[in-house]
Amino acid sequence: MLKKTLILLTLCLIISVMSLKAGVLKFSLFNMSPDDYLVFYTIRLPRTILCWLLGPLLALSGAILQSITKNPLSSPDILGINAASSLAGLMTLVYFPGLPYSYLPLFTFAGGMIAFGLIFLLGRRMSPVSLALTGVAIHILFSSITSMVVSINSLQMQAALSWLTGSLWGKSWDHVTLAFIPTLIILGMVLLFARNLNLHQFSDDTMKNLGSRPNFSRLFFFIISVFCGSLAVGLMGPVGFVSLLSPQAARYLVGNDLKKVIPIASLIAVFWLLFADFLGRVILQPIEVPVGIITSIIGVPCFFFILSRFKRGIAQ
Amino acid sequence: MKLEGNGISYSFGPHEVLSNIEISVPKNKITVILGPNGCGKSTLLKGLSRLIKPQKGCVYLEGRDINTIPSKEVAKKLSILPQSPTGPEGLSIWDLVCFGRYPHKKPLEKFGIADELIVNTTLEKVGLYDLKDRSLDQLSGGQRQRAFIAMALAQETPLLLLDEPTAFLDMHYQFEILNLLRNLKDKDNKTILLVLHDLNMASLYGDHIILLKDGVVFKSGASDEVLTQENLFEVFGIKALPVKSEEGLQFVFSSII
Repeated sequence: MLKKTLILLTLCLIISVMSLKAGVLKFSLFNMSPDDYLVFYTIRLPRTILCWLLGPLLALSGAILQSITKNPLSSPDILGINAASSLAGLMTLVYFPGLPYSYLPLFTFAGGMIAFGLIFLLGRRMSPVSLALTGVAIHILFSSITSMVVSINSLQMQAALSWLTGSLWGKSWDHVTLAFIPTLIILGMVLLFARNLNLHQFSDDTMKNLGSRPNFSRLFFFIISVFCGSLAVGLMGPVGFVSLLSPQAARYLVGNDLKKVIPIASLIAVFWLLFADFLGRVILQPIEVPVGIITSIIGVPCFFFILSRFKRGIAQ
Repeated sequence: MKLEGNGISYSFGPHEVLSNIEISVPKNKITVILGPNGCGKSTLLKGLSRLIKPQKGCVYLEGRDINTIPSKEVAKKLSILPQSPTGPEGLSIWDLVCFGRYPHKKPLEKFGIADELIVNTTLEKVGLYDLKDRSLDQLSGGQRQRAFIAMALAQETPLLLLDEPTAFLDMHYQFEILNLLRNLKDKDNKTILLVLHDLNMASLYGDHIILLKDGVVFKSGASDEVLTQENLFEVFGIKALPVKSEEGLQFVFSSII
């Protein structure tokens, strides 16, 4: 576990440095002109730090949902929570253009909670597959409303569209401050209650026998997960696959104990975001490809890889 | 540790599973609940262990309403092994049994040497110590069952409720488990409540028998008072001949009616 953590940490640090150097303006990190320093400090550094904060949020929301629904196919993007958050965010951007963006996470959280309510009403006591299908339906519902909002307001769409693909462009220290405290608090809190979260591997009867309250615990963690997902959506827009796949990769590496899964999944998510952001800035220079597009392009083959492992698991 | 049920009633929809049950689990004894399929045995056990809340009546643990005591506190006094429990496939026996220590731990409290010792001794008691690193999907039905029994034992509760703990076990391990439970009763003064199907096992190991029929207590008492030819005919619809031996009651079955 320690070795794996250190390796991942090193990878994240290396890619951080690479991404700090990547972009139209080239400079050495040790010998900067005042202009270089301005770009470094006001544009690139906050972006990189933001990846370190948003990664754990995405990983947490996925890891928690997968545990409490006992469903490896759960994550806020699959269950339609992110779609609802994005719709709420989009509508805020379109209909209240004057609002400071620091309010955005509030609205995305409200949107996420609406999707959560729907899942809770429709998807309780569902088998993993029907829950995932319910989620897909909810996802389609909210993304079609999103398309509708986009098409009827096509004139004022430029900023909103860039947000909708999940982008780190133009993120500043304000975003970092906004993400910093919630991420630390939630990460700490979830690690503190990881033992309780681990109990969700068992049936409700066994959980009750061990003195846990399964329904209360599910509700509590579900809301935390929605909060993590919506905060990430509020700060950079919807980013696909990271919350679904990072926890699964982490489980593959360290087993099912969430005390180990959460830190590892967080680091994987951080690496993934940093790497996608780096690629997005490098491949089509001087155009920047939004991070959400790259994570999805990387995510699809990884998703198929993991699906094939599931199939093999079932065949055995 | 005293466990009582007063006027417990429970129904699934219109179907009443338990009606007005009065039950008192005698201390430091093995009590066996017997009855035909669907007579409410498992529901009664779930009600007594706060897994479900009876619609009428009340369950008292040491004189307090069990549903008003914080669940974690109950978990230090009473453990319940549900019928055919399930756990994640990849979990090792060791890790499974460690979950039994959960009620005794505060959120940040470390798993200490004392806990490790308890887990080790319980694994030895159920004969799984050598297999402790195996994962659940690599176990036979009997080993699995013993692993879950070990998890309940690791909770170290004075009261143990087990729903058909000998299901899936061969004769050897049926005796093994029941001997283990008897030892726990004799040496550690545990109070044990079991659901069993085997009349012979029930009469051999049960100090107190509760015979259920259609959600009511048909008879309760010592095995030779309860397991009579007439009662068994009435409850199970079988012709059985109870024979007294040195060990206790034995049964010879002839036919169903």
